[in-house]
Amino acid sequence: MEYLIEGVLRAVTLIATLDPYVISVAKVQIIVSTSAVLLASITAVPLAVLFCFKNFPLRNFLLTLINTGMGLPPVVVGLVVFVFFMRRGPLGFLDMIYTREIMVVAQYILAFPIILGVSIAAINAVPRSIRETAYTLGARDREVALLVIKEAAFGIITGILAGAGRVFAEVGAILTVGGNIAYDIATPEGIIHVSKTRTLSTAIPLETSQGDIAAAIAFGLILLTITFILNILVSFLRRRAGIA
Amino acid sequence: MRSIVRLENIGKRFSGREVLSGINLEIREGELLTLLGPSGAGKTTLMRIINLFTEPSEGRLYFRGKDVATLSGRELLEVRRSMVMVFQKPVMFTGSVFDNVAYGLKIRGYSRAEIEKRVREALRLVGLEGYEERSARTLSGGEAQRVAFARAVVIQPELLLLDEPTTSLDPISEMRVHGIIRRIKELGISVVLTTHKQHEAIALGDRVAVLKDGRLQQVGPPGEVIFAPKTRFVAEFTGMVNIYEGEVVEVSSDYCSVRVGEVTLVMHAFDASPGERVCVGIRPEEVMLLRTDVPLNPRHRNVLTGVVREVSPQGSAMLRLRIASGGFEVSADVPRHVAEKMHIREGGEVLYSLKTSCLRRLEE
Repeated sequence: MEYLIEGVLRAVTLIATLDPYVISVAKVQIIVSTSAVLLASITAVPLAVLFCFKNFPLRNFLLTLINTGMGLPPVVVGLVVFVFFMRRGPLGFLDMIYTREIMVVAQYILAFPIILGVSIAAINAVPRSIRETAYTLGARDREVALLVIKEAAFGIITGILAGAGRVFAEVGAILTVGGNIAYDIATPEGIIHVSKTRTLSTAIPLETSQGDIAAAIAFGLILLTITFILNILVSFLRRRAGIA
Repeated sequence: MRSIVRLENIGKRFSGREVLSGINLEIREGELLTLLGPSGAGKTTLMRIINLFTEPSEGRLYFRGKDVATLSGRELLEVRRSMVMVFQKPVMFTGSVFDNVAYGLKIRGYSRAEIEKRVREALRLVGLEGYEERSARTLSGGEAQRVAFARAVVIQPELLLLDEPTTSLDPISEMRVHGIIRRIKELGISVVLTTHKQHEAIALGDRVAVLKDGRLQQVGPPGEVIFAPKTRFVAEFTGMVNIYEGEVVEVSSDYCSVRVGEVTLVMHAFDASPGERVCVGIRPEEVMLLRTDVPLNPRHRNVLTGVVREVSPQGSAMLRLRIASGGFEVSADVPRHVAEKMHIREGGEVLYSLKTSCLRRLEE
């Protein structure tokens, strides 16, 4: 039990003293996952509007695909991205493997179907009479679409936060394509260990296996705080949107 | 009066089922036209066609003389922006009452000052001054209905389409909405209103168009539709409860005689030949009770005696009597005070007349 208390105390000290290694790992996680969620939102929300407003063939089939995509196993996504971007792969010339950019790509693939699927459901839940009222008041298609997005805003934000929750918590995809790399750099204060592609979620199993329980707990605490904030936001918005 | 919208032989089918057929109708500038018909008559579909929500399966729709099927996108938007429809159950957008009422003005690019001025005026028109900052989603049904009116009127449309605006309202809210509709009409806005309530169609309409099973039965001023219904359906739907089938027994240049059971009714002449089966009717308020203590005026025709079988209240001031003259039955509406004065009671005998000018032939 003592080692646990000691571990927690040391973890709190690491966070409180802004330990460069801990901070660099948290920074990589936040940069990669936030970029992936932002990119997925920018592309998925307009696509969700198009999906709901236009009739096209294979609509139901596509919806099934999107719903399947919401439950993709992260490690499989990581593997597929790795195969495509590995040196001998079709996109190997981009030389992106083991970079933060490829981690963004992998997490984008995980977040996109969730944000798209939840946004489609939110937009479809806006009563048809809202669109018709806007239309009869003289709105053009683009104005009707904007109004519908506004009406579905809570649902769409919930989708974005659900996507964020997924990418902040996953290990498999970023571990496979990012490689969990950290390295030493020399500074006037001495040599420090910093992250290149190591994130909070990938660092925890590594530090645990290496016996540095304090560092693992510190990462765990930060990750827990992030997911806790995201979950509070999700349930708050769900209550506001009346879909809890 | 110039026409705003003209419908020429409009028909609509949904999955092969005919909902509207052969509709020829014009909506004139400044008028209030009521579309009267039972549920499922096609009223809402017709409104949706006029509002360009639904394309007709056949026929043409003209707006200010232009066939809308030939208009460009920009012209079509202009036509769309000249009219507004208020739905039976209006929905409120998320946001304040101000946001809702201002919506049509914002998308038309009005200035903030102009929007504020017009929204204030529109809310005053519907009696909701001071409601600007209220959340639109928390309004009662009646208040939401009035905000929907303000949201439509604020853009000063040429034509306002009101789809069953009072169906879900209590009588007091209904009267308030009628007042608002009259004020809107005074602003010079043409209005089409659908309803299944004959009293509403008659109280509000400059003209009434009666619709049944997707076909127009009759279009005309309220007085004409009530007192000179063309068809049996229009007669029944507008409250003509005394409808009989009979046989023409005599035709002269001035009068026709129609035999209904044991009674022969003399009516103003109409185009028929002896032996022909016809349908005739008279409104209950046109049945005239006669005093028995004074000599009978020889000009009265169709004078009959009967026994009052039933007396029932008809609104607060009238009574409806069901009178039987042998096998011939008639309903008569009389003011309460008249019935009291004439000592009318169930089982009592009465003398009554069916005026020749009030008896009408009805098409089946």
